[in-house]
Amino acid sequence: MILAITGQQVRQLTVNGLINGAEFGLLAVGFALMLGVVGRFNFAYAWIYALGGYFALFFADPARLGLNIWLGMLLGIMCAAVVGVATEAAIFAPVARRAGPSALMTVFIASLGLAIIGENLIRLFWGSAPLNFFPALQEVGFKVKPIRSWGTVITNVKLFKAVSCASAVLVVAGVLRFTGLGREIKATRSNPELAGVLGIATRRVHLIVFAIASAMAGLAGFWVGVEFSLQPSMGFQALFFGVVAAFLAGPASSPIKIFLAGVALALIEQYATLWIDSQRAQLVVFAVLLVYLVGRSFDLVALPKRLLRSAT
Amino acid sequence: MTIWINYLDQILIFSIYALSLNLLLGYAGQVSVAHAAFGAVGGYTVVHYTTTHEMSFLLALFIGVVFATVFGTLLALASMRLTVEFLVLMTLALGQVLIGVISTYSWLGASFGITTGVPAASFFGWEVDTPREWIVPLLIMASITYFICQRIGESAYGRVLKGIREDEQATQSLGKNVFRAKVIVFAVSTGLAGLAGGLYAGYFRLAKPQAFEFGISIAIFTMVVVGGQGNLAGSVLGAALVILAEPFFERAVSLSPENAGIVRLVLYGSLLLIVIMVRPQGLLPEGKRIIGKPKPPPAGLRHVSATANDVVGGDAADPSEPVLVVSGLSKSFGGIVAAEELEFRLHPAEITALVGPNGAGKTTVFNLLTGFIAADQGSVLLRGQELVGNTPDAVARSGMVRSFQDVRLFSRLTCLDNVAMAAPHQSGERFDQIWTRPGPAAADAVRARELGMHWLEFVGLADQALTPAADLGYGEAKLVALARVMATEAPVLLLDEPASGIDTEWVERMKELIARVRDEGRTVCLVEHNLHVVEALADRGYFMELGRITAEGTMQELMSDPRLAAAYFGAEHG
Repeated sequence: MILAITGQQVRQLTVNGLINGAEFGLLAVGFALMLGVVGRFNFAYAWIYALGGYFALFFADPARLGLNIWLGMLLGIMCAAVVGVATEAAIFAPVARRAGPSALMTVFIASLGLAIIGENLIRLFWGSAPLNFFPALQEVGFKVKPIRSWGTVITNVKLFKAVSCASAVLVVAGVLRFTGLGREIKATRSNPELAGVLGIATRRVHLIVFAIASAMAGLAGFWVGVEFSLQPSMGFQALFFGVVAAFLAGPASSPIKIFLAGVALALIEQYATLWIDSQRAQLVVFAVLLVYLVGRSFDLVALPKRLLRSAT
Repeated sequence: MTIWINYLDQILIFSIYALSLNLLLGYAGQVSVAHAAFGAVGGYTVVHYTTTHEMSFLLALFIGVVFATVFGTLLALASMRLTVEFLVLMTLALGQVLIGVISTYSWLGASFGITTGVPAASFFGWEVDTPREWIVPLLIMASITYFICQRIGESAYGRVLKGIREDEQATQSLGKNVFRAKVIVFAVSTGLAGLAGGLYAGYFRLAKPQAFEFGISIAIFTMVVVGGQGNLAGSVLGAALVILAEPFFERAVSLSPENAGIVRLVLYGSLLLIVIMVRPQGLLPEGKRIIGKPKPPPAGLRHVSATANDVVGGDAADPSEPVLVVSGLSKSFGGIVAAEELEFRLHPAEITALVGPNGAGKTTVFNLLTGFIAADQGSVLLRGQELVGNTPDAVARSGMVRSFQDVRLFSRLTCLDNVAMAAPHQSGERFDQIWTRPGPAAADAVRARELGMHWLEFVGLADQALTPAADLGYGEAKLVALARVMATEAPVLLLDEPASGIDTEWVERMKELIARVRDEGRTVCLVEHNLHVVEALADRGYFMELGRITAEGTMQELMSDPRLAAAYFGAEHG
């Protein structure tokens, strides 16, 4: 069976993996920022992602506002950011403040509720059927073209998506590394109380982090809408991958590392299709996560001793 | 009418799901976002065995519950040391993998599931098929589930689970086997979820992936949170609310079925969100039942009521023999030496102080002695018994209990429960005994409550018995924490900063109490920054600097040594 794999196949899967991985990596970075800096296990991030795409379409679709698609994209991203900041300010922060030590769990539950509401609000406003950007793309004369090289085929849209996502991560990494804001974010991440004492307005930092993360999700949502179509539940699968990547890399790691974890996961998923059908390939990613978690939880050396002790 | 009976049946099935999740989430504070997937284990087992193997429904249901229990046990073993966010992730991934794997097998109907040829269920030869016929068996099953969860949750066992929820380490420090309790609660919870899934499959005569997917798990989660975590009746209420939302929107508000479905989801998401924001404890908050309150006071139990005398006595042999002998105890983290070749002894019915500047490693010593940090080498002998290598709960059961610098009471439990939980040898905390010997378990619960009251009275806070620990001031909390370690009846107590950070009036009280603790024959090791307290109390002291014991003697000797005073105060101010 392994003999049946051709180099061309592997190259194509690699390219596919890199393209999907850029998207997963971007979501992983956003998710990890919210978790690591603000302490929010935000499941509603999937909704923000979808919302970015839907708002962009609302602005750009000729049947709606009919703006230029690139302007629509920017407005969509901004709307995603505004909604993301609003969720933190109006819901997560108050909920966390009240919940005290169990804030993480409580915010997770709140974000689940929000995700359910959000997805179904999209259904009510935009319907459940898939929507696409073709009319808006035609307006600006953008054509989906295949790009061939090294025996692989991708579309220009996929390439743009991957490049946009990777650039966004680079920008965020640069902000974290080189700017005063980045230092404030990192200080808040490593020790919020000390950061507060040092005069950093941690509440402001939290909101900025939500704005950054939500804008990133909006960007990804837009490109996936262009690449395939918009669907109300489109965010969940991608977010699963993003969450897994964020945890594998560690939510407090550097954006680059988290991004690469996302890319690695996507590559694993693609390569898995060599042996199992593509619908099941994503299971491999969860299997990787399970192995990681079990390894993290089990101290394999200490376990027999622990069991022995609890028996006595 | 039939349609309403249908909804009633569904409420009963989902009550079982919700009750099982509540035991895990509400009582033990553990998370599962895959309860429907555990139900799938039961559901697919039932459908597979009754259809292709023509097994009787009840037997298949039993096997399904066993499978789900085994599955839950494995999950618990695999996630023993995971924090909440990782547990969310673990169950999320597990649910996805489980449903994904199930839907790859053609003999399980692949992604369509097994929907045809499933025989009607039967209970002891009585075939049940119509919704009306199902009411009684479902009612019985839901009642059994309620009974099981009630017996576990509202007992001394449930109090330990709540302790785990509030503070796992503090629970362990009182000698409770947290590891075992967590495994058991996972196993029971997933087993009951398997029961719900099996009944679901029998009721609808099908098993398909969509019936057990993530969205269903979230619905179950919603039922528990909305109904009230830690309140079993709340879970039934929550199940009813979520299930009845569907007919409500279709009929009462008369939306089109498609829109009704969407509006229903918006509403139940909003319900979840609003409850979390406005009433996080849920519609029915956690009960304040007093565990071990005698219904009629059982006769003949008074003789076990707590007196400090039968606590220590017995083997308190030669007063010159040290109770605790520490030798060569060392620990380093990476290159940093936290404890180096520690040698010291605690003598019976004496107060020994461990003093030294900040960062000298005094709390680390407590962590090493009690097994919260594993020592690299050395020996800790408690009345001749080696403690190094034991788990913290085993150390506590051997008779040495520590308190925490940051108090760490179980904040949502009452003061009484905080202290009563510490009582040793409660048969109600043994999983087998709450079933096989409920009488003695109940009697033990009464004893524990009396012991709890006794020590609350000792610290002068009996009037606060039913106050949640979270509502106490800092000084009061420290006193309850003292009552808690006293209630363990451990002969050796390690007190970490019992008088630091509290008002003067409380300091005086604390001083008196610790002196009384010693006078009762207990051995105390004290870490305390308030030198006034240390000097008044300690019979002898050890001086620690940078992980080493550098001097030993009476407090007067230690404090009159100019070098030590300089080390102490120099570091204090530098």
